[in-house]
Amino acid sequence: MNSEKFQTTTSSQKKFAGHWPVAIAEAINSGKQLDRIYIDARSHHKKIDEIKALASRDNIPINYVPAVKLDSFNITGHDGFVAQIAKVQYHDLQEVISFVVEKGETPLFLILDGITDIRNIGGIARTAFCCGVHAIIIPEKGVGALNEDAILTSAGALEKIAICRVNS
Amino acid sequence: MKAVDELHMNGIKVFASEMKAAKNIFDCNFKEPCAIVAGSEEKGIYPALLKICDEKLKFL
Repeated sequence: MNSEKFQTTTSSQKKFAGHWPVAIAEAINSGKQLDRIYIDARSHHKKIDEIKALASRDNIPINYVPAVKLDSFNITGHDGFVAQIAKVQYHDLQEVISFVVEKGETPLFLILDGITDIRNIGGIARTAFCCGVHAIIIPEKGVGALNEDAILTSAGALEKIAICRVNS
Repeated sequence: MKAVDELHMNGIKVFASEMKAAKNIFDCNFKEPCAIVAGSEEKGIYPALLKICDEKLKFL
């Protein structure tokens, strides 16, 4: 599926990585980082297993939601699948550890458990960056998408510090 | 919890922040590889996660 199937919604100021399951699978395979995939809880689409496997491989959270929720994204013909493109680059924890050790620095990480407000995460990231924290580890579930608000609150620190999303 | 296991496997010590901890954060040596777990204001750290942390610290 080519890129013209990708669509931007202006109402919510969020980009969605295509609304067809094939486009989402293609986006994941091409290395595009996704914040979250929303799937209609009643969907029996033949691509659902493939999407689930790909999401599991890349640690992308899946939310099973009612069709009304998908309709609220103002995307026509979503086929029961909507994916949200990540604003923040997520890193693999092991890769970050190896990178820090190879650089000859002493690793210092921050794990956030149960902090759901993305603005608080932004504020924490700002302080953590000043304190020399190499990476912030957040759980895959229970944290909202790190969007423009979080980046704004962090004063850009979320762009400078590695964010690792791990399976909780 | 997987993250804590991965950190342990890489020789990184994991500190948990807890209000009732005996040790103060200023008494800790952050010159060794370490990670700090911070929970939410309301619920704190998930009990199972707190259990597998190496040490508990209070921030003030």
